Amino acid sequence: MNAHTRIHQLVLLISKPNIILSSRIIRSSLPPLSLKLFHRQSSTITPAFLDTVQPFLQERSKPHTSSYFTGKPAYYDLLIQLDDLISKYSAFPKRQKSPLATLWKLNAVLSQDLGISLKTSQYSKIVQKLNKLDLIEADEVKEYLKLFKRHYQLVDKREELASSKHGQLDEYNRSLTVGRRKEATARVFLIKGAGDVRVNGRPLADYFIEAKDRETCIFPFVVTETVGQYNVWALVKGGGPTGQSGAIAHAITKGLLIHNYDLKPILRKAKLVTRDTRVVERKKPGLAKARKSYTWVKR
Amino acid sequence: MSSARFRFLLNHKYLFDAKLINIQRTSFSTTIPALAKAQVKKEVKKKAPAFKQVRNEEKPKGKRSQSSNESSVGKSNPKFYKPKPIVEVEETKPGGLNVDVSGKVYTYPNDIMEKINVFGVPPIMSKEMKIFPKLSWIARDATLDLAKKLDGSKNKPSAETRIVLVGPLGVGKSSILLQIVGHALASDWIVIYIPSAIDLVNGKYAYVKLSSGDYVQPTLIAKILKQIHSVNRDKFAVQDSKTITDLIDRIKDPNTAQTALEQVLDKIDKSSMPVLLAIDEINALYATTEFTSPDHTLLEPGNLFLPRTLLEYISGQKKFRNGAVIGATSLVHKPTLSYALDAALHLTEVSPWKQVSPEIARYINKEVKSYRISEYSKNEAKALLDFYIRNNVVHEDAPTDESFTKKYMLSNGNARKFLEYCSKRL
Repeated sequence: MNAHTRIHQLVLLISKPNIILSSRIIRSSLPPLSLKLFHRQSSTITPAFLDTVQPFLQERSKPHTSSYFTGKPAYYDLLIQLDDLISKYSAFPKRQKSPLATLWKLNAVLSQDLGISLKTSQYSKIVQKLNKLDLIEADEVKEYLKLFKRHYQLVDKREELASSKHGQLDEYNRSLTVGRRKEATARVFLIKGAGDVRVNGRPLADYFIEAKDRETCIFPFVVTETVGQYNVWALVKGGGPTGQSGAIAHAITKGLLIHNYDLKPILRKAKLVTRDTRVVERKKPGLAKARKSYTWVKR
Repeated sequence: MSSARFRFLLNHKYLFDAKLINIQRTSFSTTIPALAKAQVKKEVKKKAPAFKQVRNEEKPKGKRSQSSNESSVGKSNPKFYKPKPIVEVEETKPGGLNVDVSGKVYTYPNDIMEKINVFGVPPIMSKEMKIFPKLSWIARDATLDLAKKLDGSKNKPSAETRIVLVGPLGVGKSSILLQIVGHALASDWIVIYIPSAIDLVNGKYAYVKLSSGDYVQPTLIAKILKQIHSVNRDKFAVQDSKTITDLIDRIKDPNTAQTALEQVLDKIDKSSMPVLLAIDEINALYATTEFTSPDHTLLEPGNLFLPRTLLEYISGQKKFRNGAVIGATSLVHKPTLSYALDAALHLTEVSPWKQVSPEIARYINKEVKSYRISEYSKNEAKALLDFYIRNNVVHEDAPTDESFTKKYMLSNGNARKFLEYCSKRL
C-alpha cells in the first residue's frame, strides 16, 4: 500500500465524527512529511490537497471527557458532575438532616442505568455525594436528584403489606404477627391500650427474670416512643429467655408496622425489622466445639 | 431506562445552570515558584514540662488529712454522686396513722422511730432503706385496710385476729407489716415485733437441751425480752417493770429463761392492754430449723421453746386478752419456704405426696387468714417516683410520663423491682 492510498483512507476515517484517533496512530500511518516525499510521490498529492489534510494531521484530538483515560469514565464523570454541583451550591441554604434517610436507587438499578457495573465502594461514594446534595434547598438540584431517587418502592411495600392476608388489623383492631429468634417463636397480638404486656398469660416482669430480657421485649416501643400505647398479648414457645424475648421484639415490630407503617425507618435503623439469623454454630470435626480446639500437644 | 437515556438525562439535568456548562475541570498546575513559596513549618519548641514541686504545705499532716464528706462529693462526678438532699416528709400524728387517703409518703416521729430501731428492721429492707435519709413509707390501700382491722381488734382476744400477709416476691409484705407495727406503736398498743423469724431457727443463737426434752435459746430470749421491755416500758406498772428487769437480769441458765419468758408474757396479758404480735418471715416457723438433735436429725420449730411459744399464739392455742397476731411471709430464703403454710393458706394445691411432719401440722390452723398484698397501682407508683426524685435517687435528668410508664411496665408494679428500676437502672 503506498502512501497515497494510506492518506486517502485516513482522510475517510477522520471524516467520520465519532471516531477518535490517537495522534500516534495518525503519525505512524503516515510517512514523514518532507519535501522528498513530494518529489517521490505521484502527482495526486498536490500542495493544495496537503493543505486540506494539514489540520487533521497536526491538531491533537482530545477525548470528549477528562476522565477518558481512567478505567471507568462513566463513573468518574458522574462523580465530577456531583462534586461540581456540591461546590456550586455550597453557599445555598441547607436543610436539617432528618432521621429518615432518603432512599436512593440501589446499586443494581443504578449500575444498569449508567450502563456500567458499580462496585459497592463506588456506589457508596456516589450515595455519599447524593446525600450531601439532598440537603441543598434548590429546585434545580431537586429536579436533578429525582433521577436517583427510589421513591416508588416504599409505597409498594406499604400497599403490599396492607393487601396481604395478615397485614391488616382484625375486627377487634388487633394485629397478629409472628416473630422468631434462635429457636423461639412468638405470636403476638398488639392492640391499642395502656401498656399491659403479658407473655404466656403472665406479666412481663414475672415471666422474664433478667431485666435485659424484659427490656429487649419493650425495645420496639422505646425506639418508636410508643411506650404505654399498646397492650401486648404474647404466646411464645421454644428456645430460652434470650431467644423468646428477641422473638417477641421481632413480632412487636411487625405488629407496629401493621398499626403504623411510618415507623418503619426508625425501626429499621434500630435493627429490629430484620430477623436475626444468628443461630448456634455447629460443631466441627477435629474441634472440641464450634470454635474451641483441643489442647495443642507439642509431640 | 436504558443506560444511554439515563446518561442523556444526567447531562441534560445537570446543565440547568449556564455557568455549569464547563464540564471539563479547569486544569491547575503547580509552578516551581509556587512550590518554593510553600510555607515552611515553623518548629514549635516545646518546653519540657517542669516537675511540679509538691510543697510540704499542701500536704496536711496527721489527723487533718481526713477529708470531710463535703470535699469528697465535690471531687466525684456530680452526675452520679449527688449529695443527699434534705427532703421534708410529713410525719404521722400521735394516736395512730390518721391517714385517710392512700398514695402519700409519710415518716414516723422520732419517738416511734426509736422504738422501731430497738426491734430492728428486716435485713433486706435495711439495705434498701440506706439510700434514703430517713425511714419513710407510702400509705397504700392495704395499710389503711389493715390499720382499720387492727383498730377493730382492740377489744377482742388475739385468737380472733390472726392474719398472714402473702404475695409474690418483693411486693411489700414486710414493709406493710412494719407500717402496721408503727401504727400500733402510735396507738399505744403493746408491741412484740420480730423482724426476722429466720434468725430464731437458723442457728444464729445458741441452744441448750433441757432434761425435759425442750430446747431453749437463752441469749435469744434475753434479747427479745429486753427489746419488749425497752419499747413497752411506759405501758407497764412500775412494779411490773421492775420484776421484768429482774427476770431479764437473772437469765443465766436456760430454765430461768423459760420461766422469764412465760412470766413476762403473763404480765403483758394481765395488763389487758391490746397486744400486737408481729412476726416477719413467719414461714420459717413452719419449716425445719437448722438445729440438730443429738441423733443428728433436724429439729422442728416446735421443739424450740421460743418458736413454739410463738406458734401457740399464731395457732390460737394461747391468746392475749386483747390484741392481734399478724405475720408476713418471706420468699427470699428458699429453705424456709413452707409447703405446710402455703397449703393451709390455700396458696398451693394440697398434694398427697408431700408430707407434713406432725410437729408442724399441730400448729396449723385453718382460722389463720391470708391477706394478699398486690402490686403498686399507677398512682402509688407515681407518688413514689416523685419521692425518689426528690431524694436524688433516680439517675434520670428529666423524668417524663413515658419513662415512668416504661418503669412501671418493666417492673409490673412490683415494689422491689420498681425501686430497682428507679434507682439502679437507666
